[in-house]
Amino acid sequence: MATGTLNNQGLKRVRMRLITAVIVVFTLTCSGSFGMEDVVSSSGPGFTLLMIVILPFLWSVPMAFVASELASSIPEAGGLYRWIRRGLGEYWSFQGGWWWTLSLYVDSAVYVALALDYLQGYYEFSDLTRALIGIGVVAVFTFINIRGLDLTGWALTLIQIGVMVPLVVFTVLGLIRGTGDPFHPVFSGDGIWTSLTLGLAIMMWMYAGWESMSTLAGEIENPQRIIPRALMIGTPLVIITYVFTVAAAIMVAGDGGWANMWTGGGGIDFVEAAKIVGGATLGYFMLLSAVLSNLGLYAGYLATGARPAFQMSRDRLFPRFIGKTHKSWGTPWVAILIMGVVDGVLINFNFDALITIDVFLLMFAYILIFVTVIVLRNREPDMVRPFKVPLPTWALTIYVAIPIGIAIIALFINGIDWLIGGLIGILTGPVAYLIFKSVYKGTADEALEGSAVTPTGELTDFGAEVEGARL
Amino acid sequence: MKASRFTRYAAMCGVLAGLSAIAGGLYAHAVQPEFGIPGFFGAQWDLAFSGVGSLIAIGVVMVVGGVLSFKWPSVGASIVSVAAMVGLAYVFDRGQYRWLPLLYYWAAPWILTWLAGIFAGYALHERVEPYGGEAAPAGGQAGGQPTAARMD
Repeated sequence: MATGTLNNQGLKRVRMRLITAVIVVFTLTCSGSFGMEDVVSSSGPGFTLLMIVILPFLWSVPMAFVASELASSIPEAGGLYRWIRRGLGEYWSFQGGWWWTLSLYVDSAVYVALALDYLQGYYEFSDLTRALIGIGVVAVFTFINIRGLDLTGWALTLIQIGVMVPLVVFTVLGLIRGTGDPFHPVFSGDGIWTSLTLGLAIMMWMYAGWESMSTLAGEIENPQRIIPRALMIGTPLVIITYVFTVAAAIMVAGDGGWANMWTGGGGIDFVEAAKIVGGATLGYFMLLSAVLSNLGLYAGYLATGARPAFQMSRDRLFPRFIGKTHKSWGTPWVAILIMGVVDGVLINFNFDALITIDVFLLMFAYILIFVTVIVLRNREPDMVRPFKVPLPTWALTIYVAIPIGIAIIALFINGIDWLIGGLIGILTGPVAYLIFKSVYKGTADEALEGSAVTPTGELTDFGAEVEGARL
Repeated sequence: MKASRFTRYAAMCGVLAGLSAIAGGLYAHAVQPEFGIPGFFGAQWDLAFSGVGSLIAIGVVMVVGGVLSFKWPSVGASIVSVAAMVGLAYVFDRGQYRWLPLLYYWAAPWILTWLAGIFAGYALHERVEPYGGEAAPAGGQAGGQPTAARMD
């Protein structure tokens, strides 16, 4: 398939280099270590570093593996939504797509709000200025996303350079000049259970996002090869980034300083730690890094968050206009624009109540993904899988049971507001399905648009005969 | 499984969700007559706006939704689900007066409500003929499995 041709959904596939794909994965799953400060003071320095090393193998590596296998065998726009459809049917795919999209709509707005908080805290501009800057930021990234994944990839590359250069300089200086012991004490003082519950929720958040890039599969050349490779390279990269940057920050905080590490002002966060070890100049660049980190996350999640809604529209489970593609740029511009507008509104209001649905919905979507991979292993053992988790199905079942267990625990340890908000959010899924299915009817499996992997590992389009599809 | 069976399950779950909410409200009132938040709408405890009141009133709405589900599963299950959401929001949106014991009473109604929504969704999936083909089993194989005829 040549670069620039429109596939049967009107999407244009761009040639994404592996390095760019790795940067996209890195952005979606890490984008710097900002936020880890809260884990250190909650769980203790030693236990934080222990969780950074161990948790990925119980939480994010399983998801990275599963996402790689499913993305390689079902490389379709909308990613996880279409995986679940293949494995569990239309109802559950709608639920997964709905919960994930709802979560991402709120989640992505948080990143812009955080970036604005950093800037406002430093420059002390008015709320009106904050609102205007926020809308401007959302508008710019919305345009970049509508323009196409190639431009988005470039933007994320530049952003990650801006994020990582100050972090690397800080880490080197911190490891050399820092005086604190990064492993002492192990726990924060209240024992292992308290340390675990306080830090786990944030840590799970820091290690989430491995499934996200799959939603872009319809707009990348050879997604069945690129996405799994990017995930396999990105996983150790993220772990290494967290380990060294957090260790450096603890050392810079000094003896006992870890207890004062938190974000949101007054504590030792990465910006303050950078000032301590590198003076005002490094502190300024670290502030820039923090702002860019959040903007990168926003740009990344704006890209990935809009695609399931697009695909659900193409599958006639959402209003049809959301499934429109740009005639020249081959992007789902309406879906992206809607998400941009929602974010532009959200960032100017206090949406704390909405954030409470976030974790719950995402965890339920994750559970559906893990169940899907096991169902497909059993029901379609001969499905073409260019990447296959190197475990037999029974062992994979045991392995994914661990993150499912962690996800269930997470539902109850984030706080009561999150539990209630999440319970409400979950119930929106069935109601939304009943409404949209009644109105738009859905699409039969045999009439779906999309792509498939041939036995030789090549990509092919199907479903071109569906009304409205273009070749 | 036939759509009619899913419809029955949805309706039964909806009715049971409502009944469990009502039972929870009556039990709460029995063990603690002034179960709820004193002074929520005024200085005195008020039955109508208390935890008891919300459980029973919303439970009645859920029972009605469940009964309607026998005939119109989508409408009925939506009523049950929205009612449960309102009930949970009532627990949630109490500011500093949020009252956690009320949440425990919503556990059974929430699970039954979710099941009602799932069964109603399956029933709808069975009944509605999708674009491009006949209705497929809701829990069956689905998703872009290409056939040779469809592959380019």
